[in-house]
Amino acid sequence: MTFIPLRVRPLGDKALCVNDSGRFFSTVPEFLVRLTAGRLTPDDTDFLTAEGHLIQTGDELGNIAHAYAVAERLTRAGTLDYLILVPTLRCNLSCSYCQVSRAEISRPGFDWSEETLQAVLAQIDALDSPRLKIEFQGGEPTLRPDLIRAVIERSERLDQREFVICTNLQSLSDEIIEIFDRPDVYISTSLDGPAATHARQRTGPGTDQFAANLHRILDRYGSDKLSALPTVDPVAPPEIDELIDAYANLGLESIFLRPINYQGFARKRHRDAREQSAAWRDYYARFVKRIIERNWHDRSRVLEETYLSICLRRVFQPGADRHVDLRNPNPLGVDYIVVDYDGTVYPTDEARMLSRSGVIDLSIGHIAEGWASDRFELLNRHSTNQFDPACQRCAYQPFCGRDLVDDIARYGRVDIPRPDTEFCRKHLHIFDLVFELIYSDDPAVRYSLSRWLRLPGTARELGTTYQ
Amino acid sequence: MPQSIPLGEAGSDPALVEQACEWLSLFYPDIAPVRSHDWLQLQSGMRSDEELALLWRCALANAELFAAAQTKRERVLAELLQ
Repeated sequence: MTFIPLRVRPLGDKALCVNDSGRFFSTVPEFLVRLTAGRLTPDDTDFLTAEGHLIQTGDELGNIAHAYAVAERLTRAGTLDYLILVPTLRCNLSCSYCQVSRAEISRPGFDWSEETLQAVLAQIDALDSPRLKIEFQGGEPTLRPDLIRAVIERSERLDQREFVICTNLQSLSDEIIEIFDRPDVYISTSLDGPAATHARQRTGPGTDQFAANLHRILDRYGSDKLSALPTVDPVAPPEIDELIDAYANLGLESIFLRPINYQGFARKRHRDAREQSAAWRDYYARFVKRIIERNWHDRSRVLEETYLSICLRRVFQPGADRHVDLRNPNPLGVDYIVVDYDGTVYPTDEARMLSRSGVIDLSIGHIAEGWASDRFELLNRHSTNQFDPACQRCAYQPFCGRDLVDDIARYGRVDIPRPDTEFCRKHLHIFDLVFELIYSDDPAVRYSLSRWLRLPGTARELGTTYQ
Repeated sequence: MPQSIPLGEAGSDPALVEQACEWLSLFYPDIAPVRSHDWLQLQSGMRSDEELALLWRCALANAELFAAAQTKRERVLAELLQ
């Protein structure tokens, strides 16, 4: 018989065992003693075989099934079908933690030139994919509705298309509303919490205008077309219920709890954003648990913390989400790119931010000239966690990912030991929380987890325990 | 609270102890393993004896399972990457 590779991590008073395909169970320390000493009982062997952790000699199907399950965990980055476009770097706000060091609204030279627009349109014509997602970022992209419309209209030959306009909703022209009216256009905005918090961190005296525009959008389209994200100052986070209320009262159910990103202006003005503290991790866990309580007491809607749901689905439903910041391998410049205001191509939005900050130039080419270079191929050799010496010893490796640009942003290199990185510490904490919830006996927890997994009912248990 | 582990018992092969300590230092840097000739003491200001005992059991299990796992793991990955 062959044991499938298992990795072990403490979980409460038990041990969590995870194999390379992500199958897992919790068990008592005594089982670990029997397992490692080669003193398994027949019951132990039966359990391990039934759960796919042990393959009997000659079981070819078992071997292939295991290899298939491991392959299911691996990202297959296909052809280019996701563009992040920055038609302008100009913005009508000036937030202290702006990730891209935006340009003043009146400054010339920070919008796409006619040549850049034509090169973007030619790229869309050349796409070899039946589907396309385009995210318009900035600056404030709604300052150039003409460029947005040109791109959208050029993409109409593709059957499966989706456009997301990331806007601060500070100003809504008739032209922009006309674009928003399209069924394939979605709106993403920022909402940092209660009005006072949002005003302090972003909009200042313009907060009333933002609130009016937000309500106008919700009145016109409902909440399905709009998503919003808070940026939270981890040093002074808002009161949890106030933040949840700010979303729930607008009918928004997904809250992506993001601490200030260590990019752009934030590198200077929020230096402590490089590493998150134990206090932030505690806040995050309390936030998730509070959402679970509220979901249990009010079943009329299901609130979720977006990133926790993504991590939960990576445990049970590999491939369910296409979240490019958490996948393995995570190759750069393959299935998605960023085109900046000057036509420069970056592998990720964070790479663009790093270049804007003057930290390191991670550009990989120009939209008019292509981006096949040995620069990103060199980076991509390190885009998997599969062979990392620390990840190989980590129970969460099958669920986790790799973010080379995040490492470069924070530490200027990609080769420091994983547990010394914020990416690793953050994900160890989140997956610890995910498995604490999976093994919770609380029906309220199982209710929320089942909803976040999009299950039709509520699971009686989500994780196996072996005594 | 310190947790003392007698070396020389089952599962305390020096190479395994070394690997188990390495695993602890990777994922639980708050724990300081202190060795004498036949004892290993795990020290942490924030963990109970029970927690430390479980952590050490997991650390040893990972060390014991790692070498055998690598052969299988690399074979499967090599097949997948062909």
